[in-house]
Amino acid sequence: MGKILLVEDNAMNRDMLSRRLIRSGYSVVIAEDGRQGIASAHAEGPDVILMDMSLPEIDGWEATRQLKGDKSTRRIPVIALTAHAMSSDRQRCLEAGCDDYDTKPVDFQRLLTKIHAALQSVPES
Amino acid sequence: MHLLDLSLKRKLTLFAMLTASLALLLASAAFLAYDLVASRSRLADALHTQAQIGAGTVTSPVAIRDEHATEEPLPDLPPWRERLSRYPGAIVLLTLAGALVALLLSMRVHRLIAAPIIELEQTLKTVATDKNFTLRLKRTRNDELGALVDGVNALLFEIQRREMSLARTNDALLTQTRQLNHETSERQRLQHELATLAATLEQRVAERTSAAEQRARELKGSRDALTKQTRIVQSILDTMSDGVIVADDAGRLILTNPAAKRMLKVSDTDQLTDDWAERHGFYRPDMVTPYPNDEFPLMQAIRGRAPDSAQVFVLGDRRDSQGAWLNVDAMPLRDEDGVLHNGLAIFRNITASKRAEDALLKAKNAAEAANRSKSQFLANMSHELRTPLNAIIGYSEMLQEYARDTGQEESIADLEKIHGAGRHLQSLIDDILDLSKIEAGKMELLLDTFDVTQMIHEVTTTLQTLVEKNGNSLEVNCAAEAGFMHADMTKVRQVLFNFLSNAGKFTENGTVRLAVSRVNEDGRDWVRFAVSDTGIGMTEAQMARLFQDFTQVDASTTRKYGGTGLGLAISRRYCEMMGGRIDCDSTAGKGSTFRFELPAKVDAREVSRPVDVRDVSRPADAADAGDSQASLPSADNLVLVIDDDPVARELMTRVLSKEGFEVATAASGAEGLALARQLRPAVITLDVIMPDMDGWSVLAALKGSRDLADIPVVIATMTDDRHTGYVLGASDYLAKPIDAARLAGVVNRNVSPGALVLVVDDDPAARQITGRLLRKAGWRVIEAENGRVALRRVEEERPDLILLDLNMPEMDGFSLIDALRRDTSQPPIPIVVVTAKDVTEEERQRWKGSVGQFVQKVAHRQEELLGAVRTHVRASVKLKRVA
Repeated sequence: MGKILLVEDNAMNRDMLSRRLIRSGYSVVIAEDGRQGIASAHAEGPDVILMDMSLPEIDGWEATRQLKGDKSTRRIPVIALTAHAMSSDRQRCLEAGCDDYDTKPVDFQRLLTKIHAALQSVPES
Repeated sequence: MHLLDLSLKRKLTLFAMLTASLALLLASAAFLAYDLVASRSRLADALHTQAQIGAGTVTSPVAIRDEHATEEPLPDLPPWRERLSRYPGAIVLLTLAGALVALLLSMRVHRLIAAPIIELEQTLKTVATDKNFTLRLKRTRNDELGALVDGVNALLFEIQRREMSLARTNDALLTQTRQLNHETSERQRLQHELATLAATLEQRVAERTSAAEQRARELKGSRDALTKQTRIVQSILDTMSDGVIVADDAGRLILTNPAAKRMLKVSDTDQLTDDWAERHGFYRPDMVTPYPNDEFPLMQAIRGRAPDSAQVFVLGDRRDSQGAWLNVDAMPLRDEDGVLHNGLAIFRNITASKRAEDALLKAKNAAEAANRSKSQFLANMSHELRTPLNAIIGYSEMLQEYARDTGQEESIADLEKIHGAGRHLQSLIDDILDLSKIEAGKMELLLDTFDVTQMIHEVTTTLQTLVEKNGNSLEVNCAAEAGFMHADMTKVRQVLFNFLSNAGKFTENGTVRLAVSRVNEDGRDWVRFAVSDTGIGMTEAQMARLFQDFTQVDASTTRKYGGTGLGLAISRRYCEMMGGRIDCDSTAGKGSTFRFELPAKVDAREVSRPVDVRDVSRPADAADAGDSQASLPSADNLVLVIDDDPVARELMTRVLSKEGFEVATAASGAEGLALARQLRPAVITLDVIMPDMDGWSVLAALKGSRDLADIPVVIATMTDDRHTGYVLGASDYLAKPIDAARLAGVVNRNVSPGALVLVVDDDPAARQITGRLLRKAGWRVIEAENGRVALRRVEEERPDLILLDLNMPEMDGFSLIDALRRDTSQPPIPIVVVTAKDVTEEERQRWKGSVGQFVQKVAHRQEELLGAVRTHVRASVKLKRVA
């Protein structure tokens, strides 16, 4: 199915989402902040990254920018997850290099669709 | 017959006879007397008495009777009587003989004397009768009568001569008389004419006189009116609270009303001298800068300029140390010929309103600050609330799945309740956040063109179940002509969702109808949506509060039916944002109809733009860059994308927005041309293959228009016909599929064509990376390894921007800035400092005027660097263009 890197600082959400994703058949790697997220992306080479934007250490925007600025991680689709519901948030996420965007609380079915789409769109390397 | 009238002949005859008779008588008497005396002597005494008596009788023979009487006393004379009786007969015979002789003689005399005279007389009579003066008498004798005839003939000749000359004179006189008559009649005619003229003249004079009198009356009337008006104007001037000053062009005050004297402490003798504003303590509204005398409105007015209203602060005297704000309106006064005579200034004391305004402004700022912090609080809270909510919803969903999988059916219903409550809470948060976003002006419109019928189909499909839950049926009537509309589809859908879910919620076993139509009103197309139900309806009081922000119609309703009760308020705000209207009517117990209508083509420029599009959580330095970018006029930063493919439009919009451009899109050639004319974008990207009007036609039209020909056009197409593009005047050519970096580079190059950036850094790797980045983005780049080299490069070609490292050998960044600023002959080159060191606040302040922006030198902050370069290069190029 695919390996998902979930970068999320809230423990409950991390736990809940990771368990549901695993139940849906994905393998999940977790990271608790931006710095860990970047490290895991390099170390684990996930197929998709679910990135919370409000993160300690390095925030989601910055982490995404760095990942997208790095040749080795550039191709990994990043789906932003944010509790900020402003449409400008969406814009900012896309500007930072995110491939897609979803709001919290997560509509799990919708999120699965987006993950699926992101996995499909990864260009063959 | 009178003796004198007798003819000459008879006179002569008579005269001769009388003379002869008398002579005989006298001779007879003398003889008798002698006879008597001789007889006496003979008769002696005796006959004395008888002689006497006889003498007496002879002397008076007529008195015969008396002789008889006397005969008595003569008693005896018989001899005498006899004698005497013989005498008378002798005498009579003698006398008769004498008379006869005299007659014969006179007849002879007549032949000699009277006849020629009578002839003369006859001739003269003929002359007199016939007026024939040509007759002449014959001269027969040489005596006195001959002379007389000569005389008469001479007389006749003379008379004839005279007669002739008289006749001539008469003729002349006649002619003259005739002439005179003519002249007289002429004169009479003239006199008549003169009289007519005189009459006309008199009439005219009369008319003129009456007109003049009328005019005089009118003049008096208007003079009276003028006097009255002057008095009124004077009263107004005296009583008005605005100060009025009129000064002539030499600066003398010719009118100051009492209010002006009070307000400005001017006197009638005041002069608009060079220090007038200073003398009267006039300041700019900032209360600090003295008002320049020349710029004072009244000064301008007497020089013929019509200045705008100005606000002036007047320094107070000791009594009123607070001073006063005056609003000054001034204008030049000209006569009918436009010749400037005076300047008028009206001073209104606006201190009170100014203070109130200040207070209001403070209150408004405070309120806005409060509102901002409220919005921020809401945004933060919503974030804080969503995180635990995410867990609640997620875990409850997960547990439901577990329960289903493990057959724990009894807990599923409870888990559904937790899940439902979580979703409700989420919708509450969303609504509150939406409303606060609208409130804070942060709600944005994402305009798009969509098929109304299609959208209605999606909405009703989604809501079918919800509406039919209460046993309702849903009827949809979407007019075929509803067509396409250009609006924020998400928001239209949200309003429809709101209306339909409300209708379903408040109606049981009834009908919910949705009707959509398109109408033309006020010259534009509108799309009308109406949702009616047969539900519980509303009272008047409920309806009044229906669309108000943060007002629930009835808290109990919300509790009973669910929802936030804010949906309608949000719907109203959405409709207003799109330039539409919303309303409803309702009868309690019968049902309600909710309607909204939107322009079929929502005009982004018409609707209220959000004031502040910055997110509250955006980093401060990025916000600064945003500020300076926002200060550029939009057209300089605007790219118009003309493409019929919505995917291409979306992609290009995203790329260009990311580059910091404002983007307008057009889905057809015609729309593109119209927008180009309206918006005057900095660059146009143009697709070639489009229906109706293809890109080449649009390009030709753009280049053919004098106003639009200067706008660079970038052709973006899949066709490979560069040649046509360049021939038609395209500036650049981009092959589809669009490469984001290339698009950005090409557009940048066209917005600020040929812009030159000087990169000053002692690290060659850093110079290289930055150089490559900038070249890719469309700029020309030159490099320098230290300040000294940089100065040389600037000498060679003046760059539009300098990217400057601070720590360098030989000449560091700040020294270079100093050196550059010393040259004031040209406008300063914008400088962006790119440094790895932490710039202190003190340093920032110190170099604020010289350095446009400080950027942290971090390898991955390319976006920020590019943003800074874009901003300053554009500003610089624009400045150059203006200069």
